[in-house]
Amino acid sequence: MRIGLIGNPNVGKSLIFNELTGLGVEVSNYPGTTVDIFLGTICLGSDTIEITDIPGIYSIDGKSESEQFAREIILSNSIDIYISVLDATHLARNLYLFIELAEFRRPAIIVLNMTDELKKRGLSIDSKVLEEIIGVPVLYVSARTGMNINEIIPLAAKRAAIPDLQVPYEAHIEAGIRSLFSLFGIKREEALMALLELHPDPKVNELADPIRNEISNTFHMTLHQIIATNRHNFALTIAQKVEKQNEQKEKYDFNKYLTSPVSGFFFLILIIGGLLSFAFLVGSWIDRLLLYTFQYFVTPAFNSLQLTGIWNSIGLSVLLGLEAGFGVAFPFILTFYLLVSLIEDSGYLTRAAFLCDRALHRFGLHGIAVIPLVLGLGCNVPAIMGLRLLRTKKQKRIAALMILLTPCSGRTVVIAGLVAVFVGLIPALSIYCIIAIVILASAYLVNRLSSGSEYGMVLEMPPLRWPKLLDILSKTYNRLKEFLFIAIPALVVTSIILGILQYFNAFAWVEEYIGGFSMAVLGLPSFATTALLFAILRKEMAVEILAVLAGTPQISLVMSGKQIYLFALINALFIPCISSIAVLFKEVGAKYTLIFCGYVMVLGIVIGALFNLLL
Amino acid sequence: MQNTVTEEILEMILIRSQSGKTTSISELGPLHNGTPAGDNDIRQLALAKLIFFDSDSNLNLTDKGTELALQVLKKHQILLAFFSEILGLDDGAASNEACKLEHSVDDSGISRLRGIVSEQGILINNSCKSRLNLSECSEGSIIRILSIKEHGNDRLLHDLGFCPGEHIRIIRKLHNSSLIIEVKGCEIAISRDVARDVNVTEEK
Repeated sequence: MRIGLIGNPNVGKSLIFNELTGLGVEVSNYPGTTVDIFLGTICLGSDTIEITDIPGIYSIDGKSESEQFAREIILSNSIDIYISVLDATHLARNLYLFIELAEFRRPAIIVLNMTDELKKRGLSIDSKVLEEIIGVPVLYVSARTGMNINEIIPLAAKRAAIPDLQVPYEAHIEAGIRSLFSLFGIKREEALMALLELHPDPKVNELADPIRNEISNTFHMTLHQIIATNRHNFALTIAQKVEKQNEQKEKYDFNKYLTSPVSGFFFLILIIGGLLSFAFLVGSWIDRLLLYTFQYFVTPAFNSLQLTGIWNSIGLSVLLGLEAGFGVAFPFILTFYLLVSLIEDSGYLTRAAFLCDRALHRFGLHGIAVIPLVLGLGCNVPAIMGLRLLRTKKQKRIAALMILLTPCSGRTVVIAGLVAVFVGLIPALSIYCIIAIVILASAYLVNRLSSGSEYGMVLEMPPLRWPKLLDILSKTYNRLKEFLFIAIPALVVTSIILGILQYFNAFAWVEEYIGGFSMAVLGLPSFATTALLFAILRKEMAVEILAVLAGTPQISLVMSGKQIYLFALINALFIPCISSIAVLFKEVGAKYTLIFCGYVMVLGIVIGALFNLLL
Repeated sequence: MQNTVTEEILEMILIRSQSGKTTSISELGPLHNGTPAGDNDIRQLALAKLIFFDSDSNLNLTDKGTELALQVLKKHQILLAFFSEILGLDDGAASNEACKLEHSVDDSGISRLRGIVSEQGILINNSCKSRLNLSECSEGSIIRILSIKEHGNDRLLHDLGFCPGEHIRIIRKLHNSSLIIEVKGCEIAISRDVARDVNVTEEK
């Protein structure tokens, strides 16, 4: 049996999916987290049930990527039973999507989530009356407290029913539906799709053309506007029949301080700035602790083995790889992922999006772009995937370039681990300022150069929530997994290979080819430039490989302060990592991937050379 | 033509008195159709007991005159709503057309027209400026949506509950830019260019 979870963004659908299947679907407090489909399998008695988490959508008729995707799933009949997850605190709005689903006449149950929140607001919903009106079973749940979660699947498997609902459309629309049936035998749900120009068969859409044109001429509205209004009104009448306001409760609303023109910007700077410095500070403590451990416990232990020849080289390489991975990169990646997860879960990002909307208009973007940009501080890969939140190609391109330049945790590792540790905190922060200027100038440039339509932000602002510690930790762990189980082993292997090559003195050619250019233009020793090239694998590998090639994590012994500064600055630009190039290719296409990567590389060299001359 | 001028005078006195102003003969000035209000017309109106002079020799409407003036004004508003909301004329042109036709249109025609206009959920209002776009409204106001321009293929606004007839509240308006709107109990942030596409009317 195949079951699908469907609902608006932010109704707790992914949380329910996780609790049902135990999979690690990421849950965030902003609309549209689930963009890829998630599947999970569970057993009920002797049956295997496949559960699909359909991306959060506001409508099945929409034109966004996830809405089209949901429509295809529903039309393909690949799901037997739908679990419609509704936010009980916004019943009327949420019923709209359910009504659309009901029109496709698929078996479903309703899950009313956030019922704990309902009580706090002094509201109640009569599920019995709702069941009667709609004709499908209704279940109260709370994904946050876990209430009734275990009953969802048994109820869906045993009692799911085809909803018994028919939206009373405006007379002209009803007449249109009737004539499409009497003339061509098109069924009601298909006729509606044809009127909305959404029928998968373009010929059917064409049949409805005359009717569609006539109605929209009569009302001076598009059919979608009329039909959506009818559905909303129908949803509202249902909601009014089942909802009861028991007592008025005024909730203290901290939200208003976060969005007001004065205190909003104050909090914006305080929150982002505060969290960034927190991540820096805690990261460097952990950094020191781990390096200390290596220096005083692990390295002496290794030395006591007294290996010789190539084995000593290999052993040292492994040690250096681990030291660079855990000692230098890990602390900052950990704190940055923690930080990004925290901001995400609280729902604060949508407030930041609102505040920055106007400013971002100057760069051809709007507020929503803040979400991928902040995510980019953690890792550029999910940030570039988050570009789907933006709806026009032009906006995607501008934001893609901005993200590509955003210092991700990998680049932060280099800046924090090298510059902040060996040169100083102010120089480290100055790199961020330089990059910020570069980002804004580049965005301005692309906005000027590229054509395309712009349309502003429409973004739901979910209520702020206190993030749950457990959720944040598990999310951070999920994101760290890739680093721990792929990046660190890869680093150790690379380190071994480099160790062996160095043992046989295979780097002489590098000296020959890169050495001159490197010293003359960038003012860097050749091993540093080699390390920069390795950053294509992962940005933080620059510092790790640097340590491997230099033969010590104490970089200050082999490079001057200026060289370290230039190294971190160039690395912050230069070559994007291979994973971000791959997702970029998927999101903006080959042409722009090539242009952007070329631009970023040239920018890295030019700015590096410039600062080499200036400093 | 005679009828046009006298009706115009009555209407003008009514509008002025509604905003608390008195009207003397000199203040009548040129009428909408450009002809000045003549003494002859005033005398006729006074004879028909539609207007009277008060002690400050200002013009005032009698009950009968008020009734007639209100009828004309109503026609004006229906025509105006028709021209601006349905035919999409800009406010100035719509008002001019309405001023011309309000005197010649007959009652059965105007009642049909009123049917069409109100069927569309368009508010027939006293003021020409009844229709605003969302970006012109101030923070805290509760407003009703009249219509939404569909931008390209963007259906998101409608799916979120921005529908004609829906009451919404402006929770937050940043200086000259983005807004937070409460629709169906949910908070939606929108940019100014989006707000410009939403026509609304302020609820009293």
